Amino acid sequence: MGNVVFKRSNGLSKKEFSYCPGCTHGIIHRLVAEVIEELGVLDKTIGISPVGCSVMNYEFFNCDMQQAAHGRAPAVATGIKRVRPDNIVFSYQGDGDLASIGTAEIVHAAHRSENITVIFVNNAIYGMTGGQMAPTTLIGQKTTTSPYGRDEKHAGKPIKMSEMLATIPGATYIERVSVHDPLHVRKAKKAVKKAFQTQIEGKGFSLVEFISSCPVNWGKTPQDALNWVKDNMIPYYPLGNFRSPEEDDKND
Amino acid sequence: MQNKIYIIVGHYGSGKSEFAVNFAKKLKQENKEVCLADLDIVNPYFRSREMRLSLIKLGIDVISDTLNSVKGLDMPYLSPAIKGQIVHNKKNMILDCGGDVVGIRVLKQFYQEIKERNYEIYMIVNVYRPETSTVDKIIEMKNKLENEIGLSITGFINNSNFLKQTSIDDIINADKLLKEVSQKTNVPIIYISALEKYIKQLPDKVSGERFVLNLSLRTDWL
Amino acid sequence: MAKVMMKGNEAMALAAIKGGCKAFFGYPITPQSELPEYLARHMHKHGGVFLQAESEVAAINMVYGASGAGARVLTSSSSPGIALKQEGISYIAGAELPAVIINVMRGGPGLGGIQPSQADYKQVTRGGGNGDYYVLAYAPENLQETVNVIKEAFDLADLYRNPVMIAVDGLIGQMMEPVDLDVEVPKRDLPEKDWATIGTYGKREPVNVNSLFLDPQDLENHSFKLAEKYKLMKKNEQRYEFVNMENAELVIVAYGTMARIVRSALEILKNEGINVGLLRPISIWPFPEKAFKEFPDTVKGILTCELSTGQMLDDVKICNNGKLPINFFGRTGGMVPEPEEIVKAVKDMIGGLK
Ligand SMILES: Cc1ncc(C[n+]2csc(CCOP(=O)(O)OP(=O)(O)O)c2C)c(N)n1
Ligand code: SF4
Repeated sequence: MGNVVFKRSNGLSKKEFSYCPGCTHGIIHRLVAEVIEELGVLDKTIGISPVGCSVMNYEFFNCDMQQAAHGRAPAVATGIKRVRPDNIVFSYQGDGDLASIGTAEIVHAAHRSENITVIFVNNAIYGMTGGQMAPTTLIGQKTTTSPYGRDEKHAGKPIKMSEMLATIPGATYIERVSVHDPLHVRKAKKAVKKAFQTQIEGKGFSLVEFISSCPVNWGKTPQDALNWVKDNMIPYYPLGNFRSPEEDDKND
Repeated sequence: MQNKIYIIVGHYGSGKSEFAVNFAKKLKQENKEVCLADLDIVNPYFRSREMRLSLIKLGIDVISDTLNSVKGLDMPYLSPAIKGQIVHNKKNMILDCGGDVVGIRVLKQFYQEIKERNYEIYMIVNVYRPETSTVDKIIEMKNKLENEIGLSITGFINNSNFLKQTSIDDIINADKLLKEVSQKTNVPIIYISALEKYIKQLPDKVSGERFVLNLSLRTDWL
Repeated sequence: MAKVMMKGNEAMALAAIKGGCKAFFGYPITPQSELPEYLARHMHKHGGVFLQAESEVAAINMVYGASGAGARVLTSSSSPGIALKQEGISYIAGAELPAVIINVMRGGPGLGGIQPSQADYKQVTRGGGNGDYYVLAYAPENLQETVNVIKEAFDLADLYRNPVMIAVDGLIGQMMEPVDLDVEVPKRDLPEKDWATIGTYGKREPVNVNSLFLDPQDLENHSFKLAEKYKLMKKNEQRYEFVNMENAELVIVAYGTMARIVRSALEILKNEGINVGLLRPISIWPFPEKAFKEFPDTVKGILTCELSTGQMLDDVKICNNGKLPINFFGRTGGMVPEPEEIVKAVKDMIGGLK
């Protein structure tokens, strides 16, 4: 995957990642760190760690960080940004965190168009607690709490957060990306940059949804997991832009 | 004798409801038919409806919400009986409004009916409330209230006090301030209201008819 | 500023501004709504932030974020809303952040009612959320005391890096009273907030605001450190008032609005030649246990009076440690007793003791 993945950004601390082998949380951290550094805002950035596998990422990002309660990162980000509007504020949240327990907080951060950036990591499962079903778990996908595969009659159909959030008038920039191959990694980085730029320009709420993998709880090798992203996740969660500041400018 | 509608407005906490309850009793003592409508949907406590049962015993009608609640609700549920009473014009009516501009918003729906009747709009003032503490602030409040209802205030009630900590000087100073407001706005001071012990000590020169207040919403120990 | 007439809720809001509050996050609930409404009108004039959150849960987490970023922050609510805030309060205590929380208590459980109540005593004094923690909690009885303690609360929160809760019942929030907002309150020597996440600006290493300790040894150390802090609060922050204690044959323990009613009852009793004293806790956590050692020998029993079915009663029992007989009188659900009811409870108790 070349330079993009292995160059250590100053946006990251010296601490080794604690993630499982092949887990794409690591790549996503690097992309975020690189963008913050390249935009020259690292020393005024404040990040928010969620509850989930990335709970400890306050140790990985080389900037001031706050650890938030499960799902509440957008509210914590709001509190920070409102009293320190000149700082750059981002939250990093999993799909259990953002799409389940924290739906109210993310919806209303978007609704108020909080000038923050949200990195949303959708791996279709609760990683940290041991592979339970998430609202994003695919139909038929087996998890510890959907042992026979997710049944839509019982658990509904997987929620599409980006599409949903894009319907909120306050949302400014929303894009879904993936990191299953180098080409997509480069695209993803562009989206992250755009999201932070949206914030730097004071344009309001930005969110990048990453389709991510959880080889461990999916019971797959890292490569099979990436293939599963491509073959199963992306067809249901199409990549692309759902909301952009330009489009809003046009409509104004 | 023609029935009147008395609309009691003012800054919240200025003593509107205590005045309204006392005023209802006064009218009743003058052998007038009285209906007190509590339109306060802003405040949850200290509303005139809390006196509902004792006022009814005195022969005073009390209307509040559709549940005829006395205490304990923060639901608006304005009673349709209010409009009925205004239209039928069988009694003198006291409309005890909530505080500030927000509190009198409910009056809008009765605007047409009120306009066609004989009405007074009394603005209660306690000059020791920070938002009505100067001539300018009182006039600003008056203008805001009038803009909201689209009708003019016809009189001031000087209800300036520090409760049990009031001194006669406090009332006399308030009188001076309100006289200035009255001159500038051409709106008369109708009553000067206070507890009986203060009314007795007031000098002759104060403006407004003396009005003895018996606190009923606020208990003695408070 | 001289004495003015203010409604409890607006006086509390203004007191917060005077106490240096720079941000407020809250969600509407009766009977405290005039407090956020006042701040919505005035906060910006003092360079502060006012934001209505989507819920109490969000509001308290905004408080966490803003406090973690170094601001003096306030939230306010009433009982059911405070229940929702408990998650965030636990995180704030765990991450050792300062915050001031005003609880204008109403009746419960559940949606309960909107009338005054003291049925949150346990929710306030027992931490309320998960984990080994306490919030510094004050229960003033009139507006002047409330305003003073709110102004002080911001310093106390900063000093101990801990949430401070002001628990008043709905009557104190709703009533009018003369109050002077500029009474001097004690100032504390406060250290720099070098832990606040305000960006490194190339001047220092990054800092974290955090309540997570995965290693149990670390969490134990952290909990013991917090416990030391609570010990210090117990030593330094117990606040109470004695009324009429000389020769008292009975002591009533009551706080907030209940204490006001008891004061009237004491007058009635005095006129009848019955000597009863009042111990009025002002801090309800730490509970004024020191006061129980100061009772005169004439005291033969304790009557606990609350606007609840008996919650502070547990603390009174702990402090009394089996020494004196204890009776309880309470009204709840928003019912507020008349002084005569307390007079009767006193007489019943004295009768029983003889
Ligand atoms: C209030 C609360 N409920 C439940 C949990 C347990 N919990 C920890 S992480 C988690 C799910 C995280 O899943 P996700 O957000 O998808 O992140 P991932 O671990 O997959 O990266 C849950 C339910 C908690 N910490 N707090
Ligand atoms: S459990 Fe899954 S999401 Fe968590 S670190 Fe391991 S692979 Fe990544």
